[in-house]
Amino acid sequence: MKLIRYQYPQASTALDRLFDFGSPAFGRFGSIFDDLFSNPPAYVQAAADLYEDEHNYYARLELPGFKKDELELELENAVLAISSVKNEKSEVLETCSSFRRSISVPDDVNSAKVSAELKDGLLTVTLPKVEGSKPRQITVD
Amino acid sequence: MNSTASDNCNSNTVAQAAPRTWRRPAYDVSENADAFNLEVSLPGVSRDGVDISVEDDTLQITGTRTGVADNGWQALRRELPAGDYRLSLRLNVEVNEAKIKARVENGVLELTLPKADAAKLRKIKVS
Repeated sequence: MKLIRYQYPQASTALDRLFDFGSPAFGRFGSIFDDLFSNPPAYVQAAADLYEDEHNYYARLELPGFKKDELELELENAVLAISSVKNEKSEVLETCSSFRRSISVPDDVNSAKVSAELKDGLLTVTLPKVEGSKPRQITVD
Repeated sequence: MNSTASDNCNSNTVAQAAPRTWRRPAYDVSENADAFNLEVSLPGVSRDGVDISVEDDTLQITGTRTGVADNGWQALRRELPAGDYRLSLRLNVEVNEAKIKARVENGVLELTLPKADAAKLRKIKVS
């Protein structure tokens, strides 16, 4: 099985490239690695929404059934990785709801103050903007 | 898409004013000797947003999301489908309607539908 890149609903624009969604770091070499090891993790890429307002960027994912401590969020080198490995087995059902999603965050995010909230299966990651990056009026002398 | 900012803003307000859109949630059904268990994924729906009704042989579940339309948030990218949840299932086995139990946790609705006595497995001894 191969990792299938998430299909974006729209063509990328300058604004979208800001976030350059999708493929994990090895994405480009995915097929080579798949052929070599032939047993890649069967990750599903969770869909996400991105918003911004004056002070923050927000990333939102629908993760029904996940508990707080089952989620792993990592912010490294301006890439926010949200993932979970979850396998459940009951007498009648065997479910695997593992997923992974990487979002490359814009330069003007204050990575020390990133926070996340999980409510009713909806994960909202708040990425505050750095003070200096907010619009500033410049007067012409 | 140069005017993304203003365009997105406008289309969002229009979408909110438009009639409700529905989507069919993902669900699992399992069965044991006494009951059917139904798990419905309703991310964004809290306990108060779930409405369950049984009419004749149709089980109808609606889930209304709360806290989704955050004012002042401008969408940069949308991949998640919009709309609240609606699921209609036809029950082809008699269910004890009075004893249906429902629980909502982490955006998942767990529904226990006890089988009516008539629908339970009866073992017949050979005499």
